[in-house]
Amino acid sequence: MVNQCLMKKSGSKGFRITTSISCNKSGSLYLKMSLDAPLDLLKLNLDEKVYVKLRGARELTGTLQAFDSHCNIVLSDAVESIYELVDGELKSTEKSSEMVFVRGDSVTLITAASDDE
Amino acid sequence: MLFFSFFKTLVDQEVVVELKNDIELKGTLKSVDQFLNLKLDNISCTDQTKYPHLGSVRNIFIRGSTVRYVYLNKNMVDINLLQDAARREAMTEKK
Repeated sequence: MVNQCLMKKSGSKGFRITTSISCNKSGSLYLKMSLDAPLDLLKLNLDEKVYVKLRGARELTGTLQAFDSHCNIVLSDAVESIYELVDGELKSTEKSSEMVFVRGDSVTLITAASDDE
Repeated sequence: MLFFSFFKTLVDQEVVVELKNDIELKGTLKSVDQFLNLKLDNISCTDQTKYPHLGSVRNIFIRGSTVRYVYLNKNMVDINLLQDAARREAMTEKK
């Protein structure tokens, strides 16, 4: 429902690729890949390194394995950084995990990770 | 629906759940529903000293909305299957 509303609003002025062919590792072909809705851009990041910003001064980088419309995501080889102020000093702690599910309501942004990260 | 099915495949596996109040619980995933509420058996708190009140709790129901992370092992997940399912989910939500 929400997706459809967004599509109508953006009309044809928005970012749009209506037909393309993509192929995954297991050889399935996908015809027609539209990039009208914001979440469609996430499709291009599947199996790629992404940077995810979360509520509570947390961020994650990892390989995007799955996502849905709530921004629930699964990342593999993820590194989490938590930023805290301790006595006025910025302290960051890192935590890595081989596979993690992140609930969408803590996610604030998802973008492709730059190579140097 | 994607993650509901995903968690159903993880039933009877050992997972670590981190809640939004920073409590971390390790336990065997017993069941999951459409809101991603979780039922864990045989739980142990990873930071016992910080949360002593959970020491004697053996099984627990977690409201899905309080979950921040669920840590999994790589061998629990079929990565290709999961990515495929994510692509399919993205397609079907269009309609």
